Amino acid sequence: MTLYRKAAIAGVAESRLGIVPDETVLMMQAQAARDALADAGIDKRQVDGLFCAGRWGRTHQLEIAEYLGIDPHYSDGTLVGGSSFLYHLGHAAAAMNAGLCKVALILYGSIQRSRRERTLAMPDHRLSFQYEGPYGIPYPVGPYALAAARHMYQYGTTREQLAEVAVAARKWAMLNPKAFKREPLTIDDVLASEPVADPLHRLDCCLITDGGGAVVVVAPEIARDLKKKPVWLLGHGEAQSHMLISQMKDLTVSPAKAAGKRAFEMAAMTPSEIDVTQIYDSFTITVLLTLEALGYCKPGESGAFVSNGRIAPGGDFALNTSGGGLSYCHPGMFGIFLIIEAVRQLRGECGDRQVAKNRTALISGTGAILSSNATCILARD
Amino acid sequence: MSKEVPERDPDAKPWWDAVARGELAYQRCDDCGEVIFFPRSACPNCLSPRVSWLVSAGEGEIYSVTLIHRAPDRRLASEVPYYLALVNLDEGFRMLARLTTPGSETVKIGSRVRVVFGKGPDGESLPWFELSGSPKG
Repeated sequence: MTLYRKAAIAGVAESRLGIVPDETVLMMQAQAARDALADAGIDKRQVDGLFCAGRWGRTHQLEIAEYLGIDPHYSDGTLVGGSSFLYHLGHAAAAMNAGLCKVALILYGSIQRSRRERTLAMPDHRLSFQYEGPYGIPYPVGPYALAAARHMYQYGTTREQLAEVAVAARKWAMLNPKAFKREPLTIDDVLASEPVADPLHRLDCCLITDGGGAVVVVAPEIARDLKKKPVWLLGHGEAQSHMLISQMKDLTVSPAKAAGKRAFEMAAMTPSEIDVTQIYDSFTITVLLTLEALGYCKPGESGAFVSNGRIAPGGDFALNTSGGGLSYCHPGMFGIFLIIEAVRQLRGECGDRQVAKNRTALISGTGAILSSNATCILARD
Repeated sequence: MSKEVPERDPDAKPWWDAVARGELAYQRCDDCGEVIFFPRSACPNCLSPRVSWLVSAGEGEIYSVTLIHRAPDRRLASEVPYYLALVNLDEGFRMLARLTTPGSETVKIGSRVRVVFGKGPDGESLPWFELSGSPKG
């Protein structure tokens, strides 16, 4: 089965971002949903699909549907870490292809920063986690540090090359008025920031902010009558590899490899045909591993690939143009923001950070500790 | 006891009992021969319920290693920085564990290690590893 052009993204919006102590996660998602539906020109009463994930409750779909007063015929709460929303996009397209819904909302909201919810502790030490939790591994940075150390050992990747990812993200963020961190950043700043889990230092790690977002996905017959040009889903792939870091077979090979292969096959495209790329940058190493996994460069070559400002504004590879989780926002789960930025780039709505070549986009979301990945290929007509 | 103490559930109890005896246990599938870690009631290769417990010689090499500067648990805050490693045991399984603080030797990927029994944050016995020689090859 293919999801090629079986669904389109019609509207996107963020909630307020950064530090939002005066809202609840439901207020945030209501605002984002209202703005995304307005962006699409679709009435809320048409919404018949709901996709959401988060860390704020146990029955997200029920609570959000009730709060927003919507009646989903189809809903999905897939929760595989920050990549979940890219899973949702593929699942929404599959549901539409099966005729199960026509207008779906994908939603996220978090006030983890204001509530000081984020710690470095594993969620719990039960079941499988009892074999790793008691060792005091900071989570999720520790497992990513182990992957970075292994990549450096195998391929000679350097901390400077990792830092290139953070510096480029900051340069993009300086062009994005909504970005949380906009002051200049140098490679030396990243190298000199305090160590968290070697070789990763504080500025190799994503932000901790509040924020949320909404994406409106529609079936092809609805996409034809939108006020804005639809952004089509051409390919989707997902893959998962492990939950405990000891169970990841090769720490240098992300599940983005399998997911990306599936997405490219579905879209009948190759990496060279992608104009704009948005890769989940939970940590600098995540971007390097994902670039290799997706086939943009060979295994071990990602450090060189990102060097000399290639992924920064003005470079020849447009990556994470919002400023990413490293500098724009990171409210715990970033996947939905990859979708939002890709849609805006394809529509040409990105102002100072707008890239010139913008017909196709790839988004690749990695969840948990390199555990899950969904990759989607998008295009405008 | 704090809530952080791992549950000794039916999958895990034999493993923790072995740790308490100073043994690093692992499993092997009686049907397909798959080496299994972490402990499971079913082989992750063939789903057979016939899995046997074995005791590892506790020798292996470091597959990756990180020096932790920020502990996730207040009770470990006084111990930073400390090493955490993924260790490839010679029997063919991999686990995460603490390393004992090395002397003059450098901790490196490829370094040979052997199991020792250290403590978790609640004082429970846990397998740790110590450097045991120079890297292979």
